[in-house]
Amino acid sequence: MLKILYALAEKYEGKKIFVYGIGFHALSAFAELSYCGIDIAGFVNTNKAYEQHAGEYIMNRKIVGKEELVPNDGIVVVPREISRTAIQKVFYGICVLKIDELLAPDYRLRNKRVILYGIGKRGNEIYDLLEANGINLAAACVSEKKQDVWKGLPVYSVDELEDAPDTVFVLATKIPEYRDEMLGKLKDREAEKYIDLFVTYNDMISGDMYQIVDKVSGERKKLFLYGNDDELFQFIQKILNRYGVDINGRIYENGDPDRGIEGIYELIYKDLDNIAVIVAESDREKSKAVCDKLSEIGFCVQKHNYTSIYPKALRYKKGFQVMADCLLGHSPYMNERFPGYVVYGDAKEDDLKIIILGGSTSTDGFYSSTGWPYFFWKKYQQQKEVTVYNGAMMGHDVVQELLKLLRDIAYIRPDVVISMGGINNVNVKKNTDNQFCVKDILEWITAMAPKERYISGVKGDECTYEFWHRNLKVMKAVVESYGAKFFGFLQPMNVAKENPSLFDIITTGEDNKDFWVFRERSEKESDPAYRNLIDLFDQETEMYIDYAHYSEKANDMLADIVFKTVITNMKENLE
Amino acid sequence: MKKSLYIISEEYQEMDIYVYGVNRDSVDVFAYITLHNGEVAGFVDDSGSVIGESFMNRVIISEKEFEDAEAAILVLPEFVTKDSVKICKEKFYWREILEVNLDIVEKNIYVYGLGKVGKEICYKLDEENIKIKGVCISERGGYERWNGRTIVDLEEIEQGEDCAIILATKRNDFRRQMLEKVEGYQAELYLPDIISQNYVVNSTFFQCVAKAVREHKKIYIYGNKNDWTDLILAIFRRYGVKVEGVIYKEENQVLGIKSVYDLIYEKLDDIMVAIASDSGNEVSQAGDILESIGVTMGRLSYASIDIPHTSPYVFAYPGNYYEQDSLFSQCAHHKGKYPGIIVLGDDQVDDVKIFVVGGSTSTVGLYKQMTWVEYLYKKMKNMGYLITVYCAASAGYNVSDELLRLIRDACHLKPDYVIAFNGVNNLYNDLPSNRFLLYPKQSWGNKSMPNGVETSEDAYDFWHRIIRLEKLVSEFMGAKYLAFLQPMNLPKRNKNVFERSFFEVLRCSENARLFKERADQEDREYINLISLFEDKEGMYIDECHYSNAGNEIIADIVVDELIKVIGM
Repeated sequence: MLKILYALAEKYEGKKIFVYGIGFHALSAFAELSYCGIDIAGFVNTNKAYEQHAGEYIMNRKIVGKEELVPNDGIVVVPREISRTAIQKVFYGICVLKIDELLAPDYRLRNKRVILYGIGKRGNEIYDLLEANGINLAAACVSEKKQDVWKGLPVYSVDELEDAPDTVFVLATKIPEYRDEMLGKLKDREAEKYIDLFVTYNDMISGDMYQIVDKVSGERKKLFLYGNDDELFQFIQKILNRYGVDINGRIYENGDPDRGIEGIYELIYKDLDNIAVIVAESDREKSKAVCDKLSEIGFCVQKHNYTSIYPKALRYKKGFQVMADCLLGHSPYMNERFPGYVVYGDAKEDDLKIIILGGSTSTDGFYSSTGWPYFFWKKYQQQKEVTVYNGAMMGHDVVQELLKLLRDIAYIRPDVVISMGGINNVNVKKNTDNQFCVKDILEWITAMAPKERYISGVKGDECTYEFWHRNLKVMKAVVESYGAKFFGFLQPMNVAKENPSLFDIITTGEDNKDFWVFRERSEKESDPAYRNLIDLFDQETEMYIDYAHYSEKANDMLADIVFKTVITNMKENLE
Repeated sequence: MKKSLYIISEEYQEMDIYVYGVNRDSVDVFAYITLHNGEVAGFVDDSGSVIGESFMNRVIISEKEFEDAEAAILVLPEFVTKDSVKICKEKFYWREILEVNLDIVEKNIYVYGLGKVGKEICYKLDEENIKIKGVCISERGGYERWNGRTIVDLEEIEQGEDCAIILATKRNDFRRQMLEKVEGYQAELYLPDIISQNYVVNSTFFQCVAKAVREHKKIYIYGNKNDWTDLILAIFRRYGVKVEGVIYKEENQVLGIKSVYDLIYEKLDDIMVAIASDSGNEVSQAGDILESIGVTMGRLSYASIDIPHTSPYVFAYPGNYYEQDSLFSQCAHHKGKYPGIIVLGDDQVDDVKIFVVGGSTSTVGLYKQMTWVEYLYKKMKNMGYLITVYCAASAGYNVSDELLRLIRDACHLKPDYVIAFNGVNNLYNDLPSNRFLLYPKQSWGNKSMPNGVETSEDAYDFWHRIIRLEKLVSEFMGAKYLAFLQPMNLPKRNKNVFERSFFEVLRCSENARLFKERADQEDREYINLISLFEDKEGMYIDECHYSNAGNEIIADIVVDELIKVIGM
């Protein structure tokens, strides 16, 4: 039986655990805690913009106001992306905890014979962690034995270990491949196996499993669970049972009627408008393949009728590569001639040359739907020979856009530069005084020298919107100094819109005031260096495939707007 | 007693070792060979312009003369490829002619330090069938064995005459910590390099000594009769350099050490002092004493063999001076009001605000000399200007770093003027074709990491284009912009032996000539100071950093230009 190492800390047993917020970070926290075996009692909303949803339910758990919490009984847990400091003040008298404070290594391990499997870096960390929590290790084991003793513990080869009652294994690795290899070695043992997490935190943030399950349950659609009878499948089933979610059928590959399992292609004969599928497949590649099959059958991401434990919208297209980049952290790498760019067109000397900069919503080849830059190029191509250098990359914000522009503009010599951004600058970069930095490089620095201080420049008093807009203006000035035209766009965002549905909120909503600031300021901006598209999709349906990314239909609309903006301006100039 | 783990192999010690070229890089090679118990027989002049002259009492010969020499080998600087040298005899890089110091063979050997260097050393000793008694590390964690060897605690080392401890690190800070840990141990200490490469490449020790030898100056050794005085004496003996005596801050008649203050009675222009110490404090203090007497760095009248005397504290304790930076990876930090920026002035609202960007030549507090930025502030203040200078310069920064400092930081300080003073850090020729790189990220991780679109733009055009962008960005935030192409003697024509040994850096020389040629020809948006000090003595303390006198002249020029722009 597989278990998660972290569980509710013993001292909080019996308390009611509420997640702070109802936005998508709250759902990420819900996912993480649910994986750790915690039964969430409800969600606490303090955001006035979401007040209309008070008393409603998410995953069959009620949305409550802070006044409904009972001191000494309830605990409010804050999602990882949100600072606890400000929230603590709102909940006077109520215990407010970070996720890491709520969790601890499962205290039930104290009464077991604990074998640590793996003595590398993670082994060291877990050793310290268990020791600090009063859990004694009986021994360590490894796949290939090179030493007899480690930290005073006997070291065994996993194959030579004999079964003993009450033995549990703690798998010391965060790398899924190693974890699977270790689980393979322990396959025939009945002992409990503790692992870190099934899915990474990034998967949880980018995924939408609980949002889709909630939507589908609310719409009374039939829910099918795809997966083999493996540990993960059982794990997911257990969580869904905990929250009273009915599973209406099981699907796996070609089916197994004896076990009541249908084949995936049998879904063709069902009423697709009234069913949804959860893919509980532990192998990431297989999970992608199943999602592809569901798309073939007629399920579709923007209709939100299937989901997976891994982010379903993230799917590298063939040949799409991401490489480390010493200036920008990471960049697309599709060809040697133009590293950092996906090139549409023949890059001929006489072509109209257009550089596109932006984040994941402009990255073509990484998400399952075709991106707007490709549609844009197709539209432009009908008018003129054009080459588009798409330098957008998921995660890139205005800083990386500007850096890329400064580095490459002289060599591509574009006629037009388009920036489509905004959302990656809404969140303040943590732990820096000055927002002008590259997140990846910050991570490299902290990984290489975790204990060392670093500086990030002079502290500014700009809000995130002002920072974004100022740098956009710098980009415009730079582009114009090279004789090219600049078109900035504030991208459509499904956040902070008026009267959002609960599904809108749980998929995209954030308790982040900056989203509202972006909306308000962009509506009032007197001298914008951009065209404001923030509310473009507010009244439309099937525009988003997840918290931020657009469906093909939306991308086509977006491409049309960008195309018309650019071509109108270019024609005016010619005239 | 500290010894070098590797020394010039017996086979090559018996031959005449010649170094290829007469430039800074070849002097580095000379230093490496010398510091590994070797002796250089002479230099082979690649240009043909200084044949027949000498450096450190060693002849400079032609390529043909070398070809004709018997039992001679040629050692090349790192930046010269073997194929590019048209000499038939076998060519080497200096590390290729080293072998393990045989003094260690019969000892009980402990390798202290289990990182990459430790691994290399163990491998080398195994290859030579030299037995290692144990390996050790400062903090062993829970480990008992490492690479099949037993880990022993430092306390378990069996000390005595037969004990040898190898300090397996190339990092100066680790080395210092390790030396502290084994202080007082009865053991011979072996180091992979007796003086770290970082110190050697930043040192001007042999250039200053060679100049003194050439000018028949009296050469003193400053030190308290320790390993380092012995090392210098041994080296000087090897090269026939006459030593006038040993001096120190305190006289010691028993040891034959005179007081440094006795130099007051000498003709100071005729003196050179070689500082023998590996302590940042002591090198710095020695410099202060010598300056107070009138023996100055600007006249190249003293130099240190280990920690560079030009900036001993920073070289000895870089962590106290540099800080990690979230964008630039490294930044000179000043624990003041604004991170990474030193503020000269009261930072009042009505002050004229000047934002300075540049590299080490503009970095306040980096070198012992006063920078032009400090002179500028002082002069403007004396002229009655209410002025605040924000100095955001940092060692190693190139024009891309500067541009981003402007975008990141200057906008928050709202300067009236931006002054850029640079050029030298854009001369390197071993960079990717797209030069928009931030120092020192180019050396991070995988060297083949892509860096933008490939280009044929040359180093000067790149620099000049980014200068224009700096102007654009400065004006965008409402500041007036002044740029200076800094003085550099690297591209000077017809350099003599000393100038070549002091200024000529191989990885920069080609681009330096390009900068000079183009700057002299072009319409430009900067003030060209590249040749300012070509014919002036006493302006430099090393290949590119200026003496107090040099910095003051630069400040005068900058002040004049600034006043023209201010219009008062």
